[in-house]
Amino acid sequence: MSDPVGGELFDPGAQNERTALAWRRTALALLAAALVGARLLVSDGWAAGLWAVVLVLPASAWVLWMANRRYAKASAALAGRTALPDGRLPTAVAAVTVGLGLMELQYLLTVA
Amino acid sequence: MTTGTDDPRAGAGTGPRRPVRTRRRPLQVYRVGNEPDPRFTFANERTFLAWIRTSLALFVTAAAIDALVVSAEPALRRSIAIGAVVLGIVCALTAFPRWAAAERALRLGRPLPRARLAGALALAVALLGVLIALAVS
Repeated sequence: MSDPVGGELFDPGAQNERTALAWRRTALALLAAALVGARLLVSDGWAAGLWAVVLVLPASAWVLWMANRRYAKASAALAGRTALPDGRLPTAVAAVTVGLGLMELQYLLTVA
Repeated sequence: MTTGTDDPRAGAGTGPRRPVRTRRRPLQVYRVGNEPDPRFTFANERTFLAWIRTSLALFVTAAAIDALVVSAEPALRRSIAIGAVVLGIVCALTAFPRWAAAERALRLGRPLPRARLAGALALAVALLGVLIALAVS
């Protein structure tokens, strides 16, 4: 099974590639949500808006970078060399998302 | 078989299975069963990511309602926004346990856990929609 560039895909369903794209969409959604949240908070002169920028924006970039590494690791795993990536990055991404939600909730509850 | 294995091909039924000590986390997932078909693992991961994006979409909805629907009564507007954020937090909090339970089930060859939250989320989003319609009308 060849892809247009002439490389080899593990399966015709391109599972690893689709999963890598899902990671990228998620990282970009995280970036967008953080920007919207930060814009809202900063416009109200609320210091937490800065925290959203300081913490969540680098986190989005980090997720994007880790997702690329994860794709490479999964490719190696499919070639039979290593194990598939584990649940650590999903844990971190879920934690960052919950954190962003809590920041937004705190803003909504405290600003009249 | 109850020993975790890191052999990616172990689930494919090729040759004898070699139990290996695993460094993968969380252990509650990887110390049981055998490596499933990689396609199922990838699909489970994408489902997890879809839940995270659903959660993020609810956060953005909350911010948009709070910032844009200025004609609505402030208390109603704020309540809808808080409802959307809480719903998003619930989605994000349950996403990882759901992923872990599904991965465990795949490794043990058991049926997948039933999607309890999906129905409740659909109802809650419908309710949120009705409230938003009331707020902007």
